[in-house]
Amino acid sequence: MAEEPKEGQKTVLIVEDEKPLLNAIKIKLENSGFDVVTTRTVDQALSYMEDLSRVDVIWLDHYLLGKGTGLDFVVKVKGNDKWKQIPIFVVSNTASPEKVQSYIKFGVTKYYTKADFRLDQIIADMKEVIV
Amino acid sequence: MHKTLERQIKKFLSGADVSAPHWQDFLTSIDQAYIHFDEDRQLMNRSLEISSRELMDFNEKIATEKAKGDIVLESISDALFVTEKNATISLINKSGEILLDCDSDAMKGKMFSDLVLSINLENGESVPPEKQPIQMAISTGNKVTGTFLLVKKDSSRFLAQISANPYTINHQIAGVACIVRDVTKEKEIDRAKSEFVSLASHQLRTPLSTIGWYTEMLLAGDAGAINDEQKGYLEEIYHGNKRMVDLVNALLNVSRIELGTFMLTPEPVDFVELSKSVIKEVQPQIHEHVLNFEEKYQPNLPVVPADGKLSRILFQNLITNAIKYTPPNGKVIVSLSTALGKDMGHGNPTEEYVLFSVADTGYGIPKKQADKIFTKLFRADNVREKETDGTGLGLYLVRSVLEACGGEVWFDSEENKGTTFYVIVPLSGMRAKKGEKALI
Repeated sequence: MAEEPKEGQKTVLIVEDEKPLLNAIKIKLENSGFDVVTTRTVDQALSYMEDLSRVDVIWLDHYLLGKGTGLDFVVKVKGNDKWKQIPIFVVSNTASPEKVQSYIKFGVTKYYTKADFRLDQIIADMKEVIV
Repeated sequence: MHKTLERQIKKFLSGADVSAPHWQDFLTSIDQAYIHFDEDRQLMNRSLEISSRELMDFNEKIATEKAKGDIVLESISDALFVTEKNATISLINKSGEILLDCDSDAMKGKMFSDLVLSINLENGESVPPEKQPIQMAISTGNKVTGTFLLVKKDSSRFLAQISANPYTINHQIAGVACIVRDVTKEKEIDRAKSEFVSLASHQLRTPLSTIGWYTEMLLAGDAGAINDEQKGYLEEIYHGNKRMVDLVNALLNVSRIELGTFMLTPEPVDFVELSKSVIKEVQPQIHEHVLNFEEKYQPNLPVVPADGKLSRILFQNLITNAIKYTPPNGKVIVSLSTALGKDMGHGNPTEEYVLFSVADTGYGIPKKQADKIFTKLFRADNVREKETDGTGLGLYLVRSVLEACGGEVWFDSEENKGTTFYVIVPLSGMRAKKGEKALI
């Protein structure tokens, strides 16, 4: 269970299985002024969604640890009236175009291929959406 | 006097006074006739002798040629079927017997379509005999080739490349020679190779992301201030990594093209906007190479149904090549206009195209290597000496993409003067292609 964020600070939930990448995203987002919660599985991501008082934005990878992919998580979040307004940024190296299409169809905000984008660029896009 | 005449006079005219003048005239003319007859006969004999000698030579030649033909037929590892005009088989080589597991005599007089079922690879349906290469070649008079899944009588199947070539006798189509090659193994190897590249590329992208993101953070001061020297080193790492990402992306694209799994989804694309955005991205390189860069766009250029990602790959490749291979203070001109096929001498004469061209005053393409420039992994000698950054995949991708969508690419070049690349895409749009994977 994460600490409560400071007044006015936005909370981002990062769901990414690759530890070094997860760590980089976490540091960069914290340095950019976000309150950060991280997990490597869909199950834990869903329990964070239940437990946290608020999540302002989600950073999501496609392939994850344990059962379920990013797409399963999106289906649950977008199917829940309480959560469906939360913007989701999918950042993955491996999802095929059909999967990208599915992500877009289920209403994720944006899709990025990791290797082709800078962290600061994705975070700038994120800030623009949640202001 | 002719000997025969003399004998006959002695035999039949004994007692007659052949020295009388009327006899003399008569016998002289007969004698002449005998002599002429002899001469004619000798002449005929001689020509008969010559003819029969020629005939013998000719027979020997035929026998030699047949022996050669037979050994050629038996030696070729591809199966060969020769048919008559009605498509019935009249000749099969050893490889043909082995391929279809059937005796040559049992196949003669039958049609190829009686022996095996041909399946269309795209829809999995069986191909009717009149749509198979042999009959198509007979009906059109042209060489017809195709790849099919062939199913034998015993239900075993294999992938076959078939090539049917019609032959004529006295300007009339008399049948076809049809080569059938089992390409199952080749296709498997090709597929395994492309799949390996695809898998390896995917796996490579995760560590490349790690390197890229951490270098980005160090450069941004996320782990504290860095000095100029450290910054310089980190920038080298960052750009080295970026090059590796580009290479992996290019390899992935090539494997998708070769696996045939890439897709092409036309949607309205504003080529002028696209060109401007690509040029904006490469502005730092233009600056670094100190180039005079010019853009010429035809006003109101129509929006074309095209695949945005693929079009971007085309523009990026040609523009970055021009920048990379033009020495400082050179000039690059990018232009977009519409043109008819016949005015360019490319594409269909009557079709209208969008023409994208990139002209530079760069190193040029050596004449002797001009035909290899679109080959995979090829880099011209003159640029390999000057610029190490290049995958040898860019122009290969450009041509593969254009071949798939109904466009074309070509160039004019003179070494040390410059090169102009031309790309055309039909104004009616790129051909759609269904596939599993988009290019990157």
